[in-house]
Amino acid sequence: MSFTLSTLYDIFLSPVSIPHTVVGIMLLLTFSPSSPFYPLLKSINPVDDILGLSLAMFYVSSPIYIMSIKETFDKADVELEYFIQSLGKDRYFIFEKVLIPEQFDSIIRIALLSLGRAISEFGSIIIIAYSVTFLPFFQYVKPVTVFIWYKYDVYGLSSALGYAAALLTISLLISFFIYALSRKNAQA
Amino acid sequence: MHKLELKNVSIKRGNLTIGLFNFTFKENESILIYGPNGYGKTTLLLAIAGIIKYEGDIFLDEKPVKNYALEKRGITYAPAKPTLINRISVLDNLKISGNSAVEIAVEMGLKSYFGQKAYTLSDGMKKLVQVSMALGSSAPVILLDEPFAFISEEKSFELKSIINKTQGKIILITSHEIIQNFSEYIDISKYQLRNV
Repeated sequence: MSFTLSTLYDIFLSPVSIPHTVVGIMLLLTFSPSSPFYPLLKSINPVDDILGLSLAMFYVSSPIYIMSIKETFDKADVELEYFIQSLGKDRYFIFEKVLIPEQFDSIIRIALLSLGRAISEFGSIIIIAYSVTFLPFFQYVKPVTVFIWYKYDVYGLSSALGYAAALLTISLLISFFIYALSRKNAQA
Repeated sequence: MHKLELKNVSIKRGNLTIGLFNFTFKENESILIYGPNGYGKTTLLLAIAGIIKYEGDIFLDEKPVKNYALEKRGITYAPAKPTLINRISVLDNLKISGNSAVEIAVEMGLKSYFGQKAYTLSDGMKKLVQVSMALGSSAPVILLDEPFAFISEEKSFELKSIINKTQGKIILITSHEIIQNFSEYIDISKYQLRNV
């Protein structure tokens, strides 16, 4: 078995294989003074910051995006690529005019899928971005999943229900768009 | 005067090994490579296009093409599968190849389809557009893999006449059956080095 960086990532670092609260702790540690990266990252403080929130969302949703996009491009029509290339067009042309337009719906569908995953993230966000400040726009705002948990934990189920229903509606809307794009793709 | 030379070319693909090909094709020649399925007709075209590896040498206009990228090789390869960029119109597909492709498509009676998105076409129509694009390209060598598949007898006749009229190019065509009126014929079954 060849042991590459990719294998190392798949086994130990992929957010697919580690609990998301641990991801949150890992992100915290990465930016802490004990981290080997601290000299490079000391000017950045992601805790309770929009950066921390974005990082947590990105870390858990990017593998879904990357794996699905790779699968989509792997399924692309290679014969069409050869044909267009043999007409004198280079790889950039093929990427821009063949791959992207042909896979556009899939790219949007996968982006929505990743967005859905990012929105529903809780485990890592509660560790690194419990209450987010992004001046001058907002201060001490809880991300929606944290907010639902907070409402449930402090005030009980009835208090959390409305917010949970709102998030569910957003998630279902995203799922609907993903379904509609998949159907359109299948028909084309 | 364009010239395509194959010198001691052999190709191994899976369990199939074909060769040795020693040919010299000249401008305005159309060559039919025929034989049963699985005997390496497409394999030979893919090797000439540089899509798969081969032993030996291929020269275009006296220059070896082995190390040239597909887009710079001067060889256009139209696959057997009718394949176009689905999300753009037929005309936009043709324009990728150039104005000659548009003219050939008009000659083939495809003008009424120009505004349609390519995915709305039948396989037969896609094939005709694809062949128009290949024949209209500026490359001196055109490789057409099974161009008569998917299309009606009437359209096959028109296509054959357009191929025969095409000037300044070397055209290699594959077919599982012998078709009349080509300059040269290659029986691929005679070039089986190993076919398991």
